Amino acid sequence: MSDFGSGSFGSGSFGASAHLGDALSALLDGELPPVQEGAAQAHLAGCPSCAHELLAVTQARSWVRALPPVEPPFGLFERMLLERTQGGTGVSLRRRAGLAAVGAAAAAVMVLGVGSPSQRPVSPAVPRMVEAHATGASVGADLLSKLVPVGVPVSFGR
Amino acid sequence: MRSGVATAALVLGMAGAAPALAGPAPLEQAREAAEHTAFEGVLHVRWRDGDVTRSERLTVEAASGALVVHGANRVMARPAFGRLVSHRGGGWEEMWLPSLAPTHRPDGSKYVTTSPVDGPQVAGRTSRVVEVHHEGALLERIYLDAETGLLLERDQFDPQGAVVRTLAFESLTIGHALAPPADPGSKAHHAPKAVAPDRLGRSAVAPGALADGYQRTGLYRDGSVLHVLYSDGMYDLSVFQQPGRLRRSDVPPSGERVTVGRATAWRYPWAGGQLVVWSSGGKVFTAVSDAPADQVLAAVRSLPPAPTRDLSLLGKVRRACQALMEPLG
Repeated sequence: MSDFGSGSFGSGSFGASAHLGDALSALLDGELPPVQEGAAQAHLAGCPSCAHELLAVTQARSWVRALPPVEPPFGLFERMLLERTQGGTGVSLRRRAGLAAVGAAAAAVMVLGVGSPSQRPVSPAVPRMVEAHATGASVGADLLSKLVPVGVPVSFGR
Repeated sequence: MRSGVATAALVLGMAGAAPALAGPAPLEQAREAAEHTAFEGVLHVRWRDGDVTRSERLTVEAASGALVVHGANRVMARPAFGRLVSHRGGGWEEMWLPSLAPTHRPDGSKYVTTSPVDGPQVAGRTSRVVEVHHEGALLERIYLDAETGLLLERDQFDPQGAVVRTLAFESLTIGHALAPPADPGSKAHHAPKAVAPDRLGRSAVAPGALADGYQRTGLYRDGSVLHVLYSDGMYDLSVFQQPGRLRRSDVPPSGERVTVGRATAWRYPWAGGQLVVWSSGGKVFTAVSDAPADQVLAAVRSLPPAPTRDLSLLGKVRRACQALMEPLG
């Protein structure tokens, strides 16, 4: 086993699991700090199970993201709760399984597509932010120091 | 840059500098001069970007309280119009309104400024020079016009004493009967709206103070982007935050990788200072500042964590599925 399971990553806030678990998604999103990313990559190199799950998650994400947003059928949640309170009498196992599958798919689509705007990828409008910063900071300050750099368009990696 | 002889003479002269003043008063003098002096000239801006030094030349004209910078972008400051920007020859866009003036700036007393001494000629003008120090280290050397107090050159240093950013007049004409810059005419409106502190949402990250003496001086919103402006009296720091997450593919590859809290962040130099971008707690943060890099990092690292921490994508799917399966179980 690599140092992932016993190192700071495995015993950190992601839980003490010997496998990557939810951290796989964070790894794919590039959200892991460098130390943890390095530990995760080391773990992946020596753990076929996590490597396989990473492949599956990557594929699942691409499939789910390709789905159009859908609304769950009207009354789905109410019917599910009603079945729960009625003890499920008279409802076949196959129907339960069908409802569960539809519900899970709807939840996944809602979470990915419409239910979690805070997790949508965002590319900050950096040039406009730089201009807002410089123009705002120039009020009550030396105009030359604060404003002249805005005359140079923001560009990285030239 | 100055000649070696001039620089050596300056350093020798500064070694026995008289008692230091508290706070960057020379920059206040430069501010007043820029707002009340008619001048035009060419400025050379240079900044270090990794191993490369980048540079641009821009022309500046000022008269009757208005100032215009001409580069690939144009920038205008007019008392009646606030701040305007024109991108690559396009129309004017109003970026900041006079009504959005930040609250009182701190006095910059954490800095120690040396008394002015005679400096070299800059763009044909006689200069007076001051140095700004913080915790014993030289941060900036500022050259002011001896006659008007106008900023002639400003050099920012890193902890090793190397220049990281400089702004210097190459040519300058002062005091002639210059016509004020032309009226901007029609303009697009892109100024943000001021936000009252008690109207901030629970998830906003906008403490009243950050590390190293940065005080909050303004809160603004532009669509879904919250802009928190801080100042320490000499430098300014803006923290922009918006809902979402940052993908590595959306980040230019040239950035220096750093950490902010538990998050990976990327740092970039720009002509006016530093920029740091990272995501945390379901928000994307972008910090922009003219402060030295170590100050910017210390300040953003002192931001409290976002009030809620969202699960990862896979975690959210798992949690949603579990929530739906439980009633059926």
